Amino acid sequence: MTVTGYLADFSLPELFQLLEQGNKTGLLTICTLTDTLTAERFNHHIWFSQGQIVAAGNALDQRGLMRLIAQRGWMGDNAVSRLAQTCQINTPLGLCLKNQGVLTAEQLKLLFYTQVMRQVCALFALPDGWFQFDPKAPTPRAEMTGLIATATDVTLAGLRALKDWNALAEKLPDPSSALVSTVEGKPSLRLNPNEWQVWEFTNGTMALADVAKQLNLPVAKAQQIAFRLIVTGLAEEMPLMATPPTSSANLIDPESLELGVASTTSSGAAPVSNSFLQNLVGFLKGKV
Amino acid sequence: MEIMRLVVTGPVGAGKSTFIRSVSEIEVVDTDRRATDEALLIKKRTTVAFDFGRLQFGPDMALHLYGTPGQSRFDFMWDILIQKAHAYILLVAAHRPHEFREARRIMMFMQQRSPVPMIIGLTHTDCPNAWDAANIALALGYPNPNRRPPLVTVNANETASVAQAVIALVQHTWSGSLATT
Amino acid sequence: MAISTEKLTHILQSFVTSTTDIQGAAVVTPDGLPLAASLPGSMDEERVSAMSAAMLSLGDRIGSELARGGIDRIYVEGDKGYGILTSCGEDAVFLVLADKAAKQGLLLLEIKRTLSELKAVLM
Repeated sequence: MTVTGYLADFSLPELFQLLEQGNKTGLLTICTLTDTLTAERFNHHIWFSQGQIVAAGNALDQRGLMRLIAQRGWMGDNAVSRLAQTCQINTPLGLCLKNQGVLTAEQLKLLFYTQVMRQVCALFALPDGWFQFDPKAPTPRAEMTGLIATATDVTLAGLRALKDWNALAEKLPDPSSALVSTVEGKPSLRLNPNEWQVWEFTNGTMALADVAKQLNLPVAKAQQIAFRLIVTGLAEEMPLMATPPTSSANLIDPESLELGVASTTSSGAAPVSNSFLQNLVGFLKGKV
Repeated sequence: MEIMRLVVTGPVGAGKSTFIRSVSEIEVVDTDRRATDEALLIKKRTTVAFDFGRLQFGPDMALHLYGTPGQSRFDFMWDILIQKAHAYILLVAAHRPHEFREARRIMMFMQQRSPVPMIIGLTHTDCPNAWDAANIALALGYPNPNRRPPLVTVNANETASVAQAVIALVQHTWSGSLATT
Repeated sequence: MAISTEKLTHILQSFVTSTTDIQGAAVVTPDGLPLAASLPGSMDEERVSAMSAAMLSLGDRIGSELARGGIDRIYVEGDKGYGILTSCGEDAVFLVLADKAAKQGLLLLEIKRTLSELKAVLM
């Protein structure tokens, strides 16, 4: 099913995480207004295969990669198109050209860097944009180098390089929240020193503001690092309360006196019987 | 008197108060006030303490429903209400991806404080921009369909639909209690 | 007309500083957002506001369901002091935190006086 929305509502890092965790294959299109006066639209396309990014471009004409090769001066436009026709239908163009000895592995890497890493990383600064993910779009062999990047790696690289965090300000975890790890043991991602430092505090007890103080980091910086850990699936935001829960929590409960016998602990609910549940379900079924 | 307490939680405007009103047999005890914050964009009034509804289905058996406020500034109410709950339902408006992260925060808050069973109820699924259940589950942090709480679709305005959701929650609680005994 | 937060804050500040045994005061919206506050440093304005609103709404509810009528005031008396919530017209709630030494009669008089000042600004 297609997924649509606005980046201001559901940010690009969140979207990448969703596509990766869902092992999605298809085409993500992000439509931005480059000029609000002329209402000129600009489309960015990112192709996913099983949750990984395989290609990116600004057009759907299947000639983006060829243009990049021509721009490098490695080969003329026409020459590439001719060679492309000899490629097998399922082979990515880049890989095919490498197999034919026209491009080196290094050149392929450079192409992928320009096409995917540089273009996609720039999108994290977008203040807004309409997005659509179409799982039915075919995988474009002519746009593919044959190299792939995980969405996590792209997100991490993009957010590390991000200077202006305004677009994501609302998405950052609250300074009063803590982080809690969602992976077993240590993360397998290559984290930078600051990220490791913040990672050490993912035990769900210390507020980010305090973590920042401890590490001598500005709070905003700690929030940004925390956000990176969250959208790469390493940690989750855990809201902390300013004041610890106290025994007064019981006051609200009008039945606590009646149930007091059954409930031995100060918190938690007294269990209900199976016949109660059975009766309740039967009663509710009468309302359906 | 045997009482089961269910908590209805979720972000602002997910339909918590409506949910309780649709199924309660008493006039719901609400504590709503005119909204002056960003909730105003969605609705006129907002819950500030809790909503309370009741279903009496036997001489000595009753179901109590507590609705939480949506805004995180009322997290002390979340804490108070979840402490005594037998189970809870997290309502999420399927057409507001903006709220998914907030729903996730509320869920983390509840899970940290109480191990009781929960299900996820998707509201507003008939809206044109609504996301489908699988993608919302992903957005809420459940990549594995076999390892996530039950997901139900609910129309908070319809008694039958709300009753169905409560049945799902009760049955989920039930299966949990059978598994542990 | 826009509410003058500056004036409200000023009234609260002079109330807190000029009255002995008062530790803090806040004016909040009925849905729990701060309008103005002069609170002890350790207290979070937003939190205090949300709690005040929740408390007053419950009090209101008790007033109507248990036939106590409209609610003028809610007292919370602890062994360290008082929290007193007073309705301040349709659009605001006035919270006062006083320590245990406060004389109740005097306190109420002060609250009443300040309330009329606040109302004048809120009108």
